[in-house]
Amino acid sequence: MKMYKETFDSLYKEIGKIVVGQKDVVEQIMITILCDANALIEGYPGLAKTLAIKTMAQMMDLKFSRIQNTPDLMPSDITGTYIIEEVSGKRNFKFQPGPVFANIVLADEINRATPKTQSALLEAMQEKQVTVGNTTFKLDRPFFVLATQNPIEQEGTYPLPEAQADRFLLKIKIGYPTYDEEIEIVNKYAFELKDPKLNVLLDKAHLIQMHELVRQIPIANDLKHRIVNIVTETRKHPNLIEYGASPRASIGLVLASKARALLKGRNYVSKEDIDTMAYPILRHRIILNFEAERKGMSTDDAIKEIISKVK
Amino acid sequence: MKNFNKVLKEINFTFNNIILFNSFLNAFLIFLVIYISLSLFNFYQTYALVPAILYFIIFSYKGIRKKHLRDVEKKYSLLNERLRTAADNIKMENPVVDELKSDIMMDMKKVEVTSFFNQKKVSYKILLSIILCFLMILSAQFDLSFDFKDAANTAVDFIYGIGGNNSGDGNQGLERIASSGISESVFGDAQIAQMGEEMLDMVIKPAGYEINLDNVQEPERREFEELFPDEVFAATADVYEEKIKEDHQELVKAYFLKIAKD
Repeated sequence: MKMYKETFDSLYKEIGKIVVGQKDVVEQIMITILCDANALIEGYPGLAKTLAIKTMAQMMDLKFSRIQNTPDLMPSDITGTYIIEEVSGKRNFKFQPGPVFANIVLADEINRATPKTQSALLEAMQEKQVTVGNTTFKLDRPFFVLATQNPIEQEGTYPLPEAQADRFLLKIKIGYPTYDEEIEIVNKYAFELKDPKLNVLLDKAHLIQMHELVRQIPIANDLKHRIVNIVTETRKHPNLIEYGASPRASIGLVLASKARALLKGRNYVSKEDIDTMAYPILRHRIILNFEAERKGMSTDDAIKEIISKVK
Repeated sequence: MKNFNKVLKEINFTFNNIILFNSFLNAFLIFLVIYISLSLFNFYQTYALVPAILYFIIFSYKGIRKKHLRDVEKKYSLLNERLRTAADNIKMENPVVDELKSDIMMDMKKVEVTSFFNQKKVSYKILLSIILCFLMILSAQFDLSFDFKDAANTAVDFIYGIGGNNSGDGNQGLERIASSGISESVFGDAQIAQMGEEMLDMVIKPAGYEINLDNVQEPERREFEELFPDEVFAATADVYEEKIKEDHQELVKAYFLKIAKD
């Protein structure tokens, strides 16, 4: 476990060369990757969402692709399509893979794509495969989709339906950097042109091994009960929450807590892991009712209240 | 990981022993307190066993059923959550769980049994039980007891002024009772008064007074010493002297001398 912790610490250090601050965001993206899942990242423009993901892909020696979602984006633009290829006078259909054939796919501003395109991507996320015509193509493992969303400029967007949002393990919120961090960002990017060289710290084989390792981390029975209590509690507050989280949230919270424990170099899940991971796991899975919204409550406030109630 | 199993069994065994000892000590204290109270009020003292046994059974059962691992974790924060996790996943076998178990076994070496035993509290309890034991012996030795009937009678007398304030006329209290119209309670129950008219089925057992003539012996001779109590003492009586004048004394003296010569 110490070895893993050292690896992750050096990973944070390497990322720190490019991304200033945002340690929680980097940690949560790493948790998503360790859980072999997908994440939805929400934040204002210019907060290094894309940069952080791109940097992590570089450090893990993974194939990275970016899809800039627009309303005119077609599913075939994501999945790929058959093209006619002429070889020695013969014309053949050849499959031209789309950007989804990568290890880390960054779907920028996913809510700008049409529901049809969104579902093509979501199928790839869920099934880890793509069907074009009559042929199904398996995606290379590991495969992660990190989608970003912009909380402003909602005009002309197609917000993800709750059922589809549920497929993302975490909803990561990116906040503004602190004053000192912003000074550091200015110093780093306003004076130098050259990007620092990054070391590759993890490879595909390592990551797949870690996916296994995350599932092996033990959790105490009372903590399992705590997780289920937190999730079921979201369904018991009609005065606050209109729709609670599904059992998929319970599975996600166990997995995410285990991954966090591994990141912290622990061979057991702690209560702190659960309480920390409850926010990104639940925030896109609960819908506040009108009364809560009228009071100006956010989903994070509701989760905080639920956590405080669960023993 | 048989060794980890052993560690868990040892924790449970140690905690059960501590719980049984504490429950026994508390039950013993309860027994002593109730026993002394009952003996002071002239009740049946053996009843003191009932609450003591009940306490022992209930608290031992509750204590033994409780999960002791949390107590260990509370005392030793380095084991916090780890011990429970390993115990809950005792059947699971993978490198991560094995590592956790071996880490815990290393850390368990730092755990001291005495840290779960509140020596100060136990010492106070033992001291208290010793004091109560002495009190019990003393109360038995001096036959200390509090008679409820006597106390009640004294209280009634005191309230109605019979035995209490006797200043002035001796019949004042009785008169007051007679005039207060509560003679019924003072002179007793009418039912009991009628008992005198009823025939009592009583047998008076004759005492044995026969003299066995075969067993008559010579009277025993005893030497009695003259012993007087301290209050009795002998003192020389004062010489009687009549107040006779000196010349008259000389005259009487001369007369008797003359007689003697004759």
